[in-house]
Amino acid sequence: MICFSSGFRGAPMLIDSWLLQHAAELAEQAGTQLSAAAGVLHHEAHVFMEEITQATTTLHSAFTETVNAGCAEN
Amino acid sequence: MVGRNAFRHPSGRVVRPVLNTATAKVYLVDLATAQRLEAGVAEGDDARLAQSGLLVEVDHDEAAEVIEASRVAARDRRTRDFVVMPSAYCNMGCGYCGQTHERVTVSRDHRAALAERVARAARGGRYDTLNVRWFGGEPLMGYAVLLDLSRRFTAAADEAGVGYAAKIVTNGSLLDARKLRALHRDARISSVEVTLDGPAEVHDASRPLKSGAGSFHKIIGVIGAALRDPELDGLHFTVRTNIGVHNAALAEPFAAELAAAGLAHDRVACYPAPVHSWGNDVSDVAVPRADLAAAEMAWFLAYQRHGLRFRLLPAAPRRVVCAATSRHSEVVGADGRVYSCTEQSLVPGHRDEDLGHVGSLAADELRPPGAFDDWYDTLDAGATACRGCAILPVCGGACPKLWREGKPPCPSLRDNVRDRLDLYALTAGYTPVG
Repeated sequence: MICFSSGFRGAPMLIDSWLLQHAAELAEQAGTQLSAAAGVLHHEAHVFMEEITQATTTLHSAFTETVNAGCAEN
Repeated sequence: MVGRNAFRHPSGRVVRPVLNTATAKVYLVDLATAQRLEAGVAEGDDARLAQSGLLVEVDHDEAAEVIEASRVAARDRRTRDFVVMPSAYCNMGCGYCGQTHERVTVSRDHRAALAERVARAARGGRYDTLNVRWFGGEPLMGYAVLLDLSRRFTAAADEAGVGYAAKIVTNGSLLDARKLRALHRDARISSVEVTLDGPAEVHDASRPLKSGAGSFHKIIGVIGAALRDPELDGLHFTVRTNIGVHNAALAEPFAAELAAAGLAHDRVACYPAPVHSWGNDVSDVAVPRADLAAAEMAWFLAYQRHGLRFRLLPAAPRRVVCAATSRHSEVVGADGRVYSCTEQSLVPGHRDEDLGHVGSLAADELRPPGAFDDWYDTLDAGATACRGCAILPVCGGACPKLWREGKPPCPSLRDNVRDRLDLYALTAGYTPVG
């Protein structure tokens, strides 16, 4: 439990030691997460890649004649 | 392969399109990455690029991997292909055609032997699907034969519990609503490919009926009506245009005529193909190679302007380049002779390259080895330019026969892939920058 005494200046702040340790752990975790997020941001700034498809491609699957060299079987 | 132009991504980034030919997938990447891919330079953490296959280890032999995958695909096919010519005659007299046409009677014995061969393939347990492609000559000159054989083929497939798919390559002049319904319903044809060589007057001059009459308006009228026919709502059409000096510049009026006839439709796909040598001299009509790539782009742009459907880039790697490279495929001529390649049966100088007669081959065995069954070994040995070519995975070498004849059949994709990528990004809705 955290208890801030606001009744008068100079009053002691009562914080259990386990809570201080927990807060330190939370801070460390946050730091790790921030570091990872920064890494992702840096990476995305470095390599952006997204797969796309042709908008009008509602074509029959049998239609593959995109590298046609002329043969009717191609 | 990297596109030439930059585009604005909705995230605000400026990007360029990239094709991974090994997977046929297209990506947008940032400009720095595009430059690095062009230069072949890898640095830092490129895990995503490596995962997509855009980056590979320096000592990785991609060509060997692609060729081996093709070899395995040709050997292990679960689909049995029969290219069947129900007629050796054609009612058209196209100037650039390399076939010779003659009236041949498809005998009762020949039909029975072919039907038995197909039935044995269906029953053998080796295949999931029978795939039949009706070819010619003009296959509709043998319409009754086609229907009769289809009835036997489909019955065999049904009895064996395997799939059945059929396509027809036709000049289209003999099509009408009644025949289309029978072809779709009874012969289970799901795809009709016709060739239209340009606006009406050019098509009719380039592909005249032997009677001298034209066919352009009749063909597009029949297709337009078929697209409105609920009985034919499972039927797809492909419109091929043979590009030559006679029509290379006529993409715009051609596309306009097709769109006006209602062919800007999800069930109609268009593509341009260069006038093709079947071993004959087409130098008078062929577009010079240097100009072909640009001419093809003009056709794609015209398709796009008029709402016609077309495919700019391959949707998948091309493992088995053609029927001639797998013994699970065979071509059966109207005279019953069996070939491996569609350009042998009716082509002078190749007609005697048959592998036997359908009536004398063992019905439950694959066709005998053909001239191009070693195609993947040929590629692997570097006997063509394909092994070092970036588009090998989506091209497959295009035409083994033309390579053997000393006429490299490299498709125009090799020359205009960067332009195609830019148009691809444009049609996908991205805005060009600069």
